[in-house]
Amino acid sequence: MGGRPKIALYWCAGCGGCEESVIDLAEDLLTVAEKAEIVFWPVALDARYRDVAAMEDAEIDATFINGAIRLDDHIRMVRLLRKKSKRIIAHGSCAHMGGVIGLANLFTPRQLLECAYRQVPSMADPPGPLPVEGGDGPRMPELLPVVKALDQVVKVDAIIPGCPPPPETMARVIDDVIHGRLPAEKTVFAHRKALCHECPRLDSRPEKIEITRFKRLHQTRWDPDVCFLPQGLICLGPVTRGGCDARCIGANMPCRGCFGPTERMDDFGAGAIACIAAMMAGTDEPALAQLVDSIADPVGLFYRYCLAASVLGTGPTP
Amino acid sequence: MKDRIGVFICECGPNIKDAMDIPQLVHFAGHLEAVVLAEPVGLMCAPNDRKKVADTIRRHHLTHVVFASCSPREHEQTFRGVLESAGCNPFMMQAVNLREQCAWVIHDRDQATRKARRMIGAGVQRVRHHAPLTPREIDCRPDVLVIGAGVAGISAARTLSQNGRRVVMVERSACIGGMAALYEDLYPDFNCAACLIEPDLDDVLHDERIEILTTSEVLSVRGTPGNFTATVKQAAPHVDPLRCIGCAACIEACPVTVPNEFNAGMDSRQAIYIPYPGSLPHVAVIDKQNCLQFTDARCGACKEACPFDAVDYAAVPAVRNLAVGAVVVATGFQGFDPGRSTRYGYGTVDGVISAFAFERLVNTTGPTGGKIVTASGQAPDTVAFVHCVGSRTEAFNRFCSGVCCLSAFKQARQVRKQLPETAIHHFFADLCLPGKTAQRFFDGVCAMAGVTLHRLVHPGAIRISAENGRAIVRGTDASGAVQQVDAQLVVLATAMEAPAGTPQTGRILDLGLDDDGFFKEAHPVVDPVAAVREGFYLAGCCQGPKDIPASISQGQAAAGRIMQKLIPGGKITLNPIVARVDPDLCSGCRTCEALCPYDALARDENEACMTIEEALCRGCGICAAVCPGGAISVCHYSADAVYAEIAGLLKPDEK
Amino acid sequence: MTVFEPRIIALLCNWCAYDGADAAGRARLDLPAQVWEVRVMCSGQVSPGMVLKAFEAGADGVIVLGCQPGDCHYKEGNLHALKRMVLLRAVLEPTPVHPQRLQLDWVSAGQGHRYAQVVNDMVETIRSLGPLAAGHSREEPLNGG
Repeated sequence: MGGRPKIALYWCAGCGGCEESVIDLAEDLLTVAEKAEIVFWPVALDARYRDVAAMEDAEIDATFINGAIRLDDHIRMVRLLRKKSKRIIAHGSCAHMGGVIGLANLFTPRQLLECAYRQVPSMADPPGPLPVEGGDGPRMPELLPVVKALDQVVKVDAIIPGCPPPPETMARVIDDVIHGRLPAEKTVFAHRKALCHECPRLDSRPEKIEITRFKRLHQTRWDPDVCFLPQGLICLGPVTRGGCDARCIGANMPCRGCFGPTERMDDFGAGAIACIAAMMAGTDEPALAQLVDSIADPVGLFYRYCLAASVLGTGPTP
Repeated sequence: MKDRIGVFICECGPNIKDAMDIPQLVHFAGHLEAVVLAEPVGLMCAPNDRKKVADTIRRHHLTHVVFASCSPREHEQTFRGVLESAGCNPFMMQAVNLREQCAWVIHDRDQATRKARRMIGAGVQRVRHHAPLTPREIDCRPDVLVIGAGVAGISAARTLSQNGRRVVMVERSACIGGMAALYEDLYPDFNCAACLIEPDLDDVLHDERIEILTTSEVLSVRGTPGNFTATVKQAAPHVDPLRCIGCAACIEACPVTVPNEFNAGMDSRQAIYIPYPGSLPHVAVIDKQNCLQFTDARCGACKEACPFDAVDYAAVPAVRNLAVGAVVVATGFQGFDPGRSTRYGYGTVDGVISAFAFERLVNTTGPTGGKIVTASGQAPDTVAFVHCVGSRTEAFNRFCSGVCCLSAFKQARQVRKQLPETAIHHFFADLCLPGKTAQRFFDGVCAMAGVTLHRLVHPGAIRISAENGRAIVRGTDASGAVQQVDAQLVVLATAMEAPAGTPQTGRILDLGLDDDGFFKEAHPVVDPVAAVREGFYLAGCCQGPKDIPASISQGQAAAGRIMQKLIPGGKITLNPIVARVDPDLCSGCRTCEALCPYDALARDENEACMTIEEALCRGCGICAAVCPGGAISVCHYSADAVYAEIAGLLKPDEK
Repeated sequence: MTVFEPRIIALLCNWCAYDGADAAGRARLDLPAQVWEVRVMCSGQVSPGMVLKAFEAGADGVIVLGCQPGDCHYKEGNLHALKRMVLLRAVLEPTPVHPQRLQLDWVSAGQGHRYAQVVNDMVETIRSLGPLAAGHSREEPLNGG
C-alpha cells in the first residue's frame, strides 16, 4: 500500500451540517485532497457500496461518520465501513449520541410516518400509502424501531462532538489524519471539563441559585454579562463537555448540550436533571411540580442531543 | 495484584440456615468471578468464628471479603474488626444483609435462596470497587467559643477559664454584662447589681485566657464537635480601644443627639457615646447610623476633639476564623414591646413605661440619677404595675416568663422605699411565685401600707388610656367589676422573649428552635443544657426565660459539660467516607457548593475548581449526586460501586 | 404463559429507610421477593443517573426511600432527592419509561410495617404496568387512558 492516507466520509441520518463542517475547510480542502486519498464521500464523490465492499479490510485509515443510525441501510453501510477502516470517527452530535434525530424515539416509526406523510398541514393530497406499505417499486430503506447512536451499532474509536463540530476541530482532526497521526482509541476531540470552565460568565455565577420560575428566552430580557442560570434561563453548560469555545454563550444563547457529557457521566440528561433540580426553589411536591411545569418540553430540553444514547430513548439493555 | 475475594455466608444459628439453601449459595458464590473462597460460617459474630474467619482471610491472602450475614447496621463494625485482625484494611469488605432483608422476610425457601444469590452476586460486584481507607486522626481543639457576653455567657467563660481553658467571647453590642448590668437592685435581697456583677466583668476583661470581641457577630460555625471553625466578623473599630480611655472629650464635641436606648429612650446620647456610665470596656463607640461623618462625610468633630487620636473613620471590619472545640450559645432575651398591643397605651399615654425603663429610672446611673419621677419631673402620687404584659396570651407569647411578678414586686418595694406616700396598685390575673424565697418576699410587699392588689379575670382584661394628663388603668376583676386606678406612672411587667434575631442565629448556627422561638435543648428533661447540634450548649435566656441565678447556673453547667466532653490532648477520628473532587474534571460550576449541609465545599478561585475540607465532610453524597461533570465521588459509595451492586442484583439468574 | 415477576430496585438511605427495612425483618413481615435493596448514605445521594442505570440494567421499577421530611440525617438530603425525582418524572412522562416506575417515599427507622406497605404497593404498581421492554414500546396510561 503506502502512499497517501485513505479517508472516507459518510452521512447517515443528519441535517447536513456536519458535511458543512467539512466544506468549511474551504481552500484547505484542496490540501486534503492532495495529501490524502478520499476514497468514499457520497455527498461529493461517485463511489458506491460495492466500491467500498471491494476494498481490503482496514484499508481505509479513517472514516468519518456523521448522522444517527435511523435506517436499516445505515447499519449495513457502517458495518461495512467498520470492517474496512482502521479508525471510525463519530462526527458530530448525531453520530455521537443520536442527536436531534434521536428525539424521534419518543414515537413509534408508524407514528412518525403517519405524521410525515399524512398529518402535516402541508400534506394536501388525499391519504396515500405509507412508504412502508409496499407496492411493487424499488424498496425504500426501512426505519429501524429506534434511532441509535453510532457506537450502539459499531465500535467507535474517536468522537468529534458538536452540532455541528467547530471548524477548527475538524481542521485539526483532518490535519492529523492526513499526516498519518490516527487518533488514539476513545479520543474525544474536546475538553475534559464542562463548559463552565471556559465560560466568560462563570465568575458572575452566585454560590447559590434559587429558581422560582423557569423562563424561555422570549419571555425575558436577560443580562448578557451574567450567567443564564440565576436569571431563570436553563443553560446546560455545567453538564456539557467544553471545547466549543462557548460559541453559543458568545452569541448570548444558553448552552443546549451538543458536546455531550463529560467522561464520567453516562447519561447526559440525568446529569442535567440533577443539576437543574438543585437550583429549584420550593420544599413541597406540588410547588416543585408547578415549577417544573414552567419548563417547556423537559425531555426535549435535557435530551435534545442524547435521547438515543439513553435508556429513555432505547429501553433497557437486552 | 489480582482480586482474591472471599465470601463468608453466616448461618446465624437457624436464622439464615433454615430459611435458605446455604450449600447452594456457597456453591454459587464459589463460582463467581474473582472469588477464590466461599464458606459457610456458623455464627460470624461469635468470637471463635470471628477468629476462624480472620485466620482464613490471612491464610488465603484474600484482598476483598463479602460477609453475607445480618444487617450491616448490626455488625459492620464487628466485621471490619475481623478484617483488621487479619491484617487487612477494614474497609475492604461488603456486608450482604441476608438475615433482616431476606431470611426473615421471604418465607418461601426457594424464593429466599434466589434473592440471596442475587444479593451475594451484587455484594461481590460491589466489593471490587472498594479501596483501602485510613481514618485520619486530628487533635481536638480544647478552646471554647461563647456567643453573648451577658451573665450566662460570662459565667460559662469564667468557669472554663478557671479550669485553664481558652475562651473567645463574641458580643454583638459594644459592652459586656448584658441586661443584668443595667439593673439597680436585685431580687431578693436588694443587692446592688453593679456591685455583684462588675467585679466579674472586670475579671473577664483582664483574664488572659478570655478574649472578648465586642461589636462582633458570628457568621458561621462549621465542623464537628472538637473541631469547629467559627467565622466571626468584628465591626470596624472606629474608636481604637487601646487608645481610648473613656474621657468623653469626643462626646462633648459631637453635634448629634439621638434617643438613648440604654435608658429606654428616656434621655438622649450623642452619635459617639459610651453606652452607660460604668459600661465595660469603658471606651467610646460610634453609632454609624447617626454619625454625620458616615451619613454625609462632613463632620470630624470627635476626631478633632480626641486627645489620644483614637478616632479612625477609615477603620475596616475584620473577619477572623477561630478554631474551637465547643460553643456556648448565650444570646439572651428581649423584653416584649408593649406597643404591639393597643390596650396598654404604651407610646401613646404619658407615664406608661416598661419594666426595663423602670430599672433605668431607679438606677443611680440612669437618666434621673435614680429618682422615680414622671416625665415632667414630679414624684408620682400613684404607681400601677401591670403583670403578664405580652405573656400568657395566644396573641403574643403563650408562656409565663416566671420572673416578671417578682420583678414587679421588687420594683414596688423600690417605689415604697423612695416614696413612702405613693399609692401602689398591682393588676394581675395570676401570680407566679416559685422557689424558696418568693412567697416570703410577696408577703413582705402585702404587708406594706398603700399597696392594693387587683385580680383580673384574665391577663388581658385591662385597658390604659389618657385622661387629664394622667394614665387611667381600667381592669375587669374576677367578679366582673371594673377596677379603675388613676395613676401617674404605669409600669408594664413585660414578657421575656427570644431576641428578634434568634431564627437567623438558629440558621447560622444550625440550632433548632422550640415552639416559643427559644433555642431547643437536646432533651428538655434529661439534657437541658446541650443544644440540638452536638458540641453546642445553651446558657441563659436564649433557652427560655429565667432569672439571673438560673442563667449563671446554666452557664456554669454548660462549662462543666464542655470540660467533661472536651479533654485537651484528645484525638478526633475523622470519618474516612468522604467526598473527593477530581480537579481534572471539575469545571468550577458551583452547582454543589450551596448544597453541602456542612459547608465543606469551597471554590478555589485561582483554579476555578471546587475543594472539599475533609474534616467537615460527612459523606452524605449530595454533592456527588448533583455534580453535572461527574467530578465528585464519595469514597466507598462511588457511582460505579453502586451501579455495580445494582447491576449485580439485576443480573439474569442463570440457574 | 409465564407470570410477570417485576424486578424492583429499592435505594434506601442508611439512617431511616434501611433501618425500616431491617425492622420489617425483625418483625418477620412478609415482603415480596422481587424487591432488592441497595444501601446508600442518603436519599440525596441518589442521582437521576443511578435511577436510569437501574432501568438500563433491567429493573422494571425503582423506589427511592429516605427519611421523613424534616428528619434527614444530613438536614435536607431528602429534599434534594424530592426535587430531582419531581423533575425526572416530568422528563419520563413522554418516554417509554412510565413515571410511575419511579417512586420516592419516606420511611422512618423502625417503620417496618410502613416499609412493607410501600414496597408491596410498588410491586402492585409495577405488576399492572408490566415489564419494561427492551427496545421501543410506549405504554398506555395505567388507567386505560
